[in-house]
Amino acid sequence: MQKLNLDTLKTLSTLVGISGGEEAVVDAIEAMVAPYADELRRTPLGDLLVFKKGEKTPEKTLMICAHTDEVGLIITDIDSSGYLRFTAVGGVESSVLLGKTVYVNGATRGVIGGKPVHLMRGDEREKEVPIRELTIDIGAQSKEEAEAVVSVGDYVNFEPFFQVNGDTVMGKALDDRMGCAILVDLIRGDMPYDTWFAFTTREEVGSVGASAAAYEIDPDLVIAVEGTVAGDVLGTPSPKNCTRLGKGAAVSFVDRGTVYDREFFKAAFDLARELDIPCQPRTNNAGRNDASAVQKSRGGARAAAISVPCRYIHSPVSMAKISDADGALNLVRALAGRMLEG
Amino acid sequence: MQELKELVLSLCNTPGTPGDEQAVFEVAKEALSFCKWVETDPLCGVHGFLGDETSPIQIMLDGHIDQIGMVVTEIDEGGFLRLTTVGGIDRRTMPGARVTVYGKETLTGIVCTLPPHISEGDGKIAAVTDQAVDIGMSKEEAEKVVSVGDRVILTNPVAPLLGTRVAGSALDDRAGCAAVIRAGQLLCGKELSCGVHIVCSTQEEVGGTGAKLYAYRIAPTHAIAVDVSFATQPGCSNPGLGELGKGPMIGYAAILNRKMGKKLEELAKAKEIPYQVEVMGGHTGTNCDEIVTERAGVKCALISVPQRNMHTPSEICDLLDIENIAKLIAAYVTEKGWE
Repeated sequence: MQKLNLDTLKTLSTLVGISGGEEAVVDAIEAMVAPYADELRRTPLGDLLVFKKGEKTPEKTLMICAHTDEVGLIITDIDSSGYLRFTAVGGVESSVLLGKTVYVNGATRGVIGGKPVHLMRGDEREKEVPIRELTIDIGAQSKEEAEAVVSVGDYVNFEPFFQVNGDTVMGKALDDRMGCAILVDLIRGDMPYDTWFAFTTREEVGSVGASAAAYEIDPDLVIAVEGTVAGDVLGTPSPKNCTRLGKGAAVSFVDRGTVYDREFFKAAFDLARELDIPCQPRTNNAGRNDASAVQKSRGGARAAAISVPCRYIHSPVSMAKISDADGALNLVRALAGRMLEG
Repeated sequence: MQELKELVLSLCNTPGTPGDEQAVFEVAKEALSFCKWVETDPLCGVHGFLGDETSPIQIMLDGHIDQIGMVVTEIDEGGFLRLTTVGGIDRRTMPGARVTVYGKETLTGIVCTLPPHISEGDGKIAAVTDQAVDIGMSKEEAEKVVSVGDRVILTNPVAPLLGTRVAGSALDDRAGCAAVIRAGQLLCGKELSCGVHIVCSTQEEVGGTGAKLYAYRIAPTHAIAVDVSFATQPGCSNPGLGELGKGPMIGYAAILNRKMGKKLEELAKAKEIPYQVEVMGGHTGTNCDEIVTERAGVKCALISVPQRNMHTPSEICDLLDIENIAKLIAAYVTEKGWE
């Protein structure tokens, strides 16, 4: 079994790429895969398309994709006192924002403030503060001072963090730098068949990049590789919790965007059994991924999704098991072979 | 200002929750090495002395060295750490927060939260005791490295913002510790006609044990406590709040010594130190409340560092305010403000 390269994951996790501003991540991936790629292309939307020759040339075209963007915030207003207001790019719960350090343009440090508990009245102490009422304080004492370093429209990212402890990895933006790292390792290794890889942009705002990538590649088959919801915390039971950490790679049968190919869903479990890779179904249809856009592109593509369960996605730091990621890496390669044998 | 910044950062970025302040004692002790002598006591804190031990005037300068935190109460079946508070944690700052767990090893954890895909948010944040910390371990693994009673802090190291402002965890009240230590630095080498006791005291966030015990042991005639107080910020524009960067907040309250307050105002004017006045009714919610009644009573003044986002991991202070408090305290000592 190939092991996921954790240095790659660290590099990609700590880089910043909010939807529509993924260049740094895509550039880093291009530098990583260029020596192993047979063809490299970018779409007008910034997606990186990588063709990799395999042992055999298949009749059909397979696209394996992972998205390069992460959720974040965007500045909407700078007020007269120099405080920044913002909205979310992608799905961010306001409950994970108060008290956190963020960076504007990846460079200017700020903190998201909150009223001191001592000054609260009634039920304020237990109420979530909506995003529209939160502000970022960068230490500016006036609008002018803030405007010298920040503009409306600037992106705001969570503080980069990455740590490995045994089989556990914690890091920013594992959704979906986890998928990107898996694709990078697949490109560095050997593939059974010629394969197109797509590192897509703007997934978190509706798979905008994936639709362009799919049009370009025109695949018959697609595998989306994700860092997906693991909600196995706070007593959230199965199946609602979607996936469970440490229980293996997750295979999707349906979500809000895609009804996946049943044959491939079954094939993934068969392969996992054959290869002794732990594997679990993604048991909640909540959420969606790039497969939805690729499946419906041009004349359509049969879709599969393999994910690494990640707790706390769409918050500053997420958590995954390295063993789940290793399994997903090997399962994606095996499934790619099975889908193209066809 | 660079030196002060380094002092503030090193004090804030060393852990010390109430009753478990030893790590940050070392930082304070090192910073107080210019004193005639420095002593530490696990129950009380760190105490450095300058000046004349035989003088009838003994002044205690107090900042509290503890920070708000949490304590592990249980490792549940899933390996998640359950917690309660030591000090007033704002539950709203917890979901999705990175934490540091001080077990047998120092561990990183994340406060559990559900992503928008599956959360059924009702707009309420659970009580601290109903939240949990995930260290990515099973119960068996966790029990090897974490024990009930271990401390947990919300991790957000203090680092600069623009200009002279800094933000992060524990500025309440390491900012005050920095101010009294800095005051000592300004007084160091000067001929002093009184005794100056620089104290970084324990357990203020759970009632002020350290300051109370020091006030008994030192038996000061006068005390000046430096704590943080509320500055205006979004959502808080109540009259009477301080403003960041506008200087020391000189306190008036029934329990405080009015004459000391007036003297501090007079000195601020004379030394052209900007200042603000903070008025409270009876008690102050600071160590002054403990110090004032010790032995036969101590004349107390309170100077506060204006602060935003108090008791969140994103507390903000302005280093200029801390420096100005140090200057004001040094002026009180050198100008014999007690006379």
